[in-house]
Amino acid sequence: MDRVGIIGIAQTKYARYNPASHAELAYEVTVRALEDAGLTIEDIDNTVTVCNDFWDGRTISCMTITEATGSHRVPTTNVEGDGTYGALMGLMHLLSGIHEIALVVAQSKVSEGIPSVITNAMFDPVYERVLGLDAINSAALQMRSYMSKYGISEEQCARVSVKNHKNAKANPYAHLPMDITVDDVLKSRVLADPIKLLDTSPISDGACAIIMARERTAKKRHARPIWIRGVGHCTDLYHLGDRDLTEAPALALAAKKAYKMAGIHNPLKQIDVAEVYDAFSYMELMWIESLGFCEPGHAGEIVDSGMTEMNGALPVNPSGGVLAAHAVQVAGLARIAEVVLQLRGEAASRQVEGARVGLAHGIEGACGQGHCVFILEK
Amino acid sequence: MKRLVGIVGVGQTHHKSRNADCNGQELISIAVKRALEDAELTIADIDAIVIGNMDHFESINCADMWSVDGSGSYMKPIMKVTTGGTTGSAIGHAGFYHVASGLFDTVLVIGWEQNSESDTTAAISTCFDPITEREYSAGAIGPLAAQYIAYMSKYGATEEDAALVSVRDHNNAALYNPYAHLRQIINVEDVMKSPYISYPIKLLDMCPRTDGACAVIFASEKKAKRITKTPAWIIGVGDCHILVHLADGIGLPNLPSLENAARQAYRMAGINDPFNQIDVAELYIPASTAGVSWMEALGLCEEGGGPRLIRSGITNMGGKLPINPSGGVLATNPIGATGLLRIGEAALQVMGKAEKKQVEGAKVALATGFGGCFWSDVTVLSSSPSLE
Amino acid sequence: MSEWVEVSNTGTLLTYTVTRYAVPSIQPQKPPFALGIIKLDGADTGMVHLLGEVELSAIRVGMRVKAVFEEVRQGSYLDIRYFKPLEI
Repeated sequence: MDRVGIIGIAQTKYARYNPASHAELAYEVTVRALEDAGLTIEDIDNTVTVCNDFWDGRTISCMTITEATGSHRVPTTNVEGDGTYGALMGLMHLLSGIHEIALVVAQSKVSEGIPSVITNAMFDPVYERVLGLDAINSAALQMRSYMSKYGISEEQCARVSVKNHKNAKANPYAHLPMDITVDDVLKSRVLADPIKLLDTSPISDGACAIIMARERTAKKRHARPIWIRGVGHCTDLYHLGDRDLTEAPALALAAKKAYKMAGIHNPLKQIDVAEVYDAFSYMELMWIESLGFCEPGHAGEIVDSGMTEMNGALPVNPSGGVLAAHAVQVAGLARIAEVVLQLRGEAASRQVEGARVGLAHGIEGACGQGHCVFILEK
Repeated sequence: MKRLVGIVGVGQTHHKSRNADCNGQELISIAVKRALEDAELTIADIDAIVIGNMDHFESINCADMWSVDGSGSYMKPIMKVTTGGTTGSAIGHAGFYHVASGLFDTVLVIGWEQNSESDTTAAISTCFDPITEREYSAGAIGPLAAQYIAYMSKYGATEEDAALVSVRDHNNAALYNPYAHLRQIINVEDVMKSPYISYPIKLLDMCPRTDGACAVIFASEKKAKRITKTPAWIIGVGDCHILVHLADGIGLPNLPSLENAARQAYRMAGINDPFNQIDVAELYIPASTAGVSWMEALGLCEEGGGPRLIRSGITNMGGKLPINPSGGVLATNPIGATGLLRIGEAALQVMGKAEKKQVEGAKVALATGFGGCFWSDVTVLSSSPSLE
Repeated sequence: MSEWVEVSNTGTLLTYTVTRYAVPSIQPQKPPFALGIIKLDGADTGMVHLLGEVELSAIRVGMRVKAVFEEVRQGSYLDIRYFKPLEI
C-alpha cells in the first residue's frame, strides 16, 4: 500500500449539549484541522463527510455540512457509518492516485434526538423493533452473554469505566472526566441488567476532522505526518439471535487484515497505544480479546492486572475513550485523532511515552456488528 | 500510477411500483444474485461491498448492517454511502475507488429502494433547512419545475420539447427494457394532456416512485480480464455538490454541478468532443424538462441548444447519440438504485450485453447521477482502457 | 433452504436483560420488562423476545422457556405474547 499520512486533526470539546448547528460544528473542526495542517481550504481536493440521516433528523443529512466543509468546491461523498469508515473512504480516494489531499469530517448533535428511538430503528422492523430493543438493552443482552460464558464479573467491567473516566481527566476534549470507584459503578442506576449508568457512554454533541495526504505531499507540507500502515473492516450477521454475542469474529478478521498490511504479528509487543470503541464498559474487554491482546475470555484478568492502564504495557483509551465522550458517527474518527496526537507526541498529560505505533477502532450497528481498524505509525 | 477498474457484471430486479412479495433484503438478494450470475462469480469472490439507499424511505438505520442476509456481507467488509438522489452514482464511484485504491480486487455495489414504504415527497422535504426552507419546499418536483421555467424563458424551449424527451424514454422502456417499471408507448399528445403536477411539469413528464435494486460488480484490471472478455472500463469520474440552499439553485436555467462533474470526468477520460466521442448515454433525467435543459451542461449541444438536439431525433434509438435506451429515470426510479442503474446500463452497452437495448457498436458510454440539492455525478465508460 | 422446518415452541434462554428505563414510543410494555434470546428446540439460531409470567429476579441464563401465543392473531411478531418458564 502506498503511504498516506494524516497531517491535520481537530476535535471539538464533547458535551451533553452544544448550541452550535451541524454546520457550525463542522466548520469549527474544518478550520482547525486546516490550521493544524498548515493548509487552506483551497489545498483540499476532495472531501468525505460522515453524516447519518437518523441522528441528524434530515434526509440527505450531508447537505447540512456541505458548505461548512468546503465540499461544494471539490469531489465529495458521504459515508453513513462510523467516522473510521469515512476515514477509509478518504484513504481510498487518495490511494487511487486521483486525489492528493483529503478532508474527512464527522459531526453529531445527539442532543437533538431521542437516542433510544434512533437506535431502535437499527433493528429489524418486523421481528425486533416491536420489542423495544435499542442500543442499551441489546448491549445488555451481549454483556450478560459474554460475562456468563467466561465468568467475567461486573467488577472487571466496572474497572474499565473507572480507568477511562480517570484517563479522561487528562483530555481537554472529554465530556466526562471523572474520579469514580468500582463501587460507584456497581451502585449506579441499573439501566438494563447488567448494564448500569456508569457502564454506559454518555450522549455527546461534537465533531472531528482529519486531513490526510499522499506521501510526497504529506512530507512536503507537514513536519510530522502520521502514516496509515494498515486498515481493515468487516461485518458480522445482523439478527442478534444469529450471532454468537460472546465474541467478535468480524473484529478479529478486520484486525487480521490491518495487522497483515502493517506487518504486525505480535500486537501486544508491536502496538504501543490503542483507542478502541468502548460504547459500554464490557465492550473494551471483548474488543481487546478480538484484537489479539489476550486470549478469548481473559480480558477480565488483563484489566485486573493493569496492563491497559496508562502506565501498563499497552494503554487502552488514554483519551478516556467512548465512555468519556460519545458523539455518534464521530467517535471512531476521534479515536484516530487521539492516536495521531499520541504518535506525534502531542498528547500532553495523556501521552503514552514513546508511542510509535497505534491502533484506532470504530464500530457500526448493534452490539458491534461491524468493525473498522486502523494501524497508524509515526 | 493509476489502476484500471472495470465493471464485470450487472444485475437488477424487475422494477415495480410495489414489490409486495419480497422485503428489502430479498429485493437486494435478487439483484446481487443476478449480478453474480452475469459475471459468473459467487459471493465468495467478492472482497468488499458498498451499499446505498435513502434512509427516510424505508426507515432503517444502519442499513448496511441490516442488509447482511441479502447483500451477502457476512464476514466481509461493507460500508454505506448515501448522498440523496445521487446515492446510486455515489456508490458506483465508491465501488470504483475501493478497487482503484488497490485495497480490494472485486467489489459489489448495491443500490436499492423500496419507495412504496414511504411518503416520498414528505421524506425528501426533510432535506431542506428546517428554519429557512422546509415550509415552502415542494420535494423534488418544485425546484425542477422552476428551473425549466427559467430555461424556457431564456432560450425559447417549450413544453412540447420536454414531451419529446418523455416520449423517447417511455417508449424505449416499453420496447427494449423488460426490467423497467413503466413500459408505456406514448406520444406527445398523451404527455401534453396529462395533468400538471407543478407547472410546467406534467404527470407524464415526471419520474415514478419505484421499488427496485441494482447490483454492479467492479474489478481490478487483472481480475476483470480473467472474469470477462469485455469489461466496461471506468475511464472518467467526476462529482460535484456545488449547491446547498434551495434558493441558490432555483431560477438557474442550467445545472452548474453537471457541467463541473462532466468536466472532471471528461478530462480524466480524454474527452474533448463529447458529442462525437460518446456513443450512448444513460442520463439521470428525473423530469423530461431536464432532458432538454441539461444537455448543454454535458457539452452535447451549444448553449440553449437543448430543443434543437431533442427535436432532431439524434437522441432517439437509431440516432447518432441515443440517450436512455433503458428508458432512464422516467421509466424506473428506485432512488438509491437509480444512479447505479445508469452506470450499470452504460456498462452493459459497452460490454455488448444490453440485449434489446443495445446500441450497435457502442464503445464509449456516459452515465450521470443527479440528486438534491442540484448535485451531479458523471461517469465515462469504455470498452477499451483508454480512448484512442 | 427452501423447505419449512418445524421447530418446537419450547427452548432455552441464551441471555436476557431487564429494561428499566422508559421510552414509551418504542417499548411494548412499561418497564421493568424482560427481553431474552431464546434458542428454540430444533432451531439453529436464537430469537429475541419478551419474557413473561416470571419473577424478574428469577430469570437465569439456561432457563427452559415456552412460547405463549395470543388468542387472536394479528400477523405480528407479538402474536407470541412472550416466553414463560417451562414447568418441568
